[in-house]
Amino acid sequence: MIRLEGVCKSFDGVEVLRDVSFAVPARGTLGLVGAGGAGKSLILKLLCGLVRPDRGRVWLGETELGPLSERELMGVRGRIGMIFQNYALFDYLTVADNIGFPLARMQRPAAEIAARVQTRLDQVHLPDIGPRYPRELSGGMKKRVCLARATVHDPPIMLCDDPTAGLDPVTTNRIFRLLKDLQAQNDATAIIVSHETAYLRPICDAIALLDRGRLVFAGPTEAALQHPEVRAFMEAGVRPAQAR
Amino acid sequence: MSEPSTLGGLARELRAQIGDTIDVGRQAAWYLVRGRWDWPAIFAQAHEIGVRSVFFVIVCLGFLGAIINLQAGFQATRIIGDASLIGQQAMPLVVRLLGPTLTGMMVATRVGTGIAAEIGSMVVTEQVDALRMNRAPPAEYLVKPRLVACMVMVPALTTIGITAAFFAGMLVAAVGFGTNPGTYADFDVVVGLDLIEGMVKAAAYGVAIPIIAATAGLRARGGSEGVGEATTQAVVAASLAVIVLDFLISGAVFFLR
Ligand SMILES: Nc1ncnc2c1ncn2[C@@H]1O[C@H](COP(=O)(O)OP(=O)(O)O)[C@@H](O)[C@H]1O
Ligand SMILES: [Mg+2]
Repeated sequence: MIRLEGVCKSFDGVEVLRDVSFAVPARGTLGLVGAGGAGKSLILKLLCGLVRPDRGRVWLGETELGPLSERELMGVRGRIGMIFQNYALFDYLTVADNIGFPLARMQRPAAEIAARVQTRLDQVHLPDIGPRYPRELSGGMKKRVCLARATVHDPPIMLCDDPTAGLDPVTTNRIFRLLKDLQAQNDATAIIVSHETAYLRPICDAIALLDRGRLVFAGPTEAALQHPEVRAFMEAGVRPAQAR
Repeated sequence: MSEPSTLGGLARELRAQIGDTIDVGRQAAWYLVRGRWDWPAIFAQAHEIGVRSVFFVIVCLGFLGAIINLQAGFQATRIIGDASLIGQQAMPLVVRLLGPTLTGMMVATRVGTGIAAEIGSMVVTEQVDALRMNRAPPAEYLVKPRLVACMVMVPALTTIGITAAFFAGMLVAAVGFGTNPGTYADFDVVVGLDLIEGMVKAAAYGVAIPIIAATAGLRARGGSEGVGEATTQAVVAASLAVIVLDFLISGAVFFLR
């Protein structure tokens, strides 16, 4: 289970999140939508403890993140797979070493790492790019490598920040299916930030709409689609804003 | 903006920077004792920091040794008409002051900028966040290899630099003033304490420079602009630290003598 309660966050006196509360039940999937700059990426970072809230509380399962030290948070983060909006691939490592990184830090045997890395590369339909470097890849390819790295250790919590940005419709479809499969395989709880509202609707149990740091609505998908603002957003009322 | 608030802001900024540096230093110390030893990364850093600075250090310190002996030689021949003791006059200064501090300055600029730029660009591209997601604390994964490399390499470079200054000085003394190399190289004059002082300084710089530069990198915000700012901050702070440490250690040794 993932839960935020009354979370507020400001940067340099500018309030970026105001009193945000929602919960995702275990094995649930939440679609987090909103225009660019609404605070979606920031919420995902708060959930991993990469950023600490000014006020409010954050739970992952039974663990409240607030009182944990950075060293204790390291352990908690091992349960999370995070697909970063801007890839955040290690530019000095090959694609294979990037994907294997979480396992290498867990000191798994090299043969196991190599096998798991290749499985993920095949699943994201990039079987041959292991020896290449991130700078040689297109945006869509980097996104898929990031997905592979985020899920290589089968995390029970998946945080996906715009996982299909820069992908063609066919690959987009595949990636959403892959995310769903991995989630089912690991009994994972997921939050997916995306502007692909048509793809989100069938795979999410719940939708949350964020508008300039405030939660407009969070609830089951059917109820969300009755809500006028969510509905307007989901039915392409709002043009997907440029990702920030 | 009024003057006091600018000064207040500056003071707050400085305090935050010092606080962060101490924090990074403490974490690095913790991982130095308890953390993993990533030998490939340590060797890569040692190569980057040490091997690639060695030419720079030899040339600079070599010229420095030549210049000092030239100056000392001119003075000695003019005043007492005898330049046989110039090595014994110049070398203690090189060993305990100019050797380590000049090497420290060179490492602060050349290596400090490198560390700050590398880590800073990893921060602004969220690679540091990705490290923190994967049980790779920046203090262990990024700072520790650089710290270990500098702790070994700065004293090593200092030793090499002093040696270069010594031989360049010997050459100048012999060719310029006819000083007997045997007399020039009378090591008894360089007392043990000078050598210890020089090496303590080099070791202190080897700890301070990577911590300060890494902290500047970790504090980078924004885009490439932020990385540039972090780099400048690293050079300024690391050079300042070298001078201040030089003063403090010199002072301490003075009272010990
Ligand atoms: N580390 C940060 N420092 C300063 N401002 C930030 C930081 N992270 C996010 N913000 C600000 O918070 C707001 C929300 O950002 P973000 O979560 O990236 O939006 P979204 O992902 O919904 O497009 C933006 O105005 C952004 O400038
Ligand atoms: Mg975003």
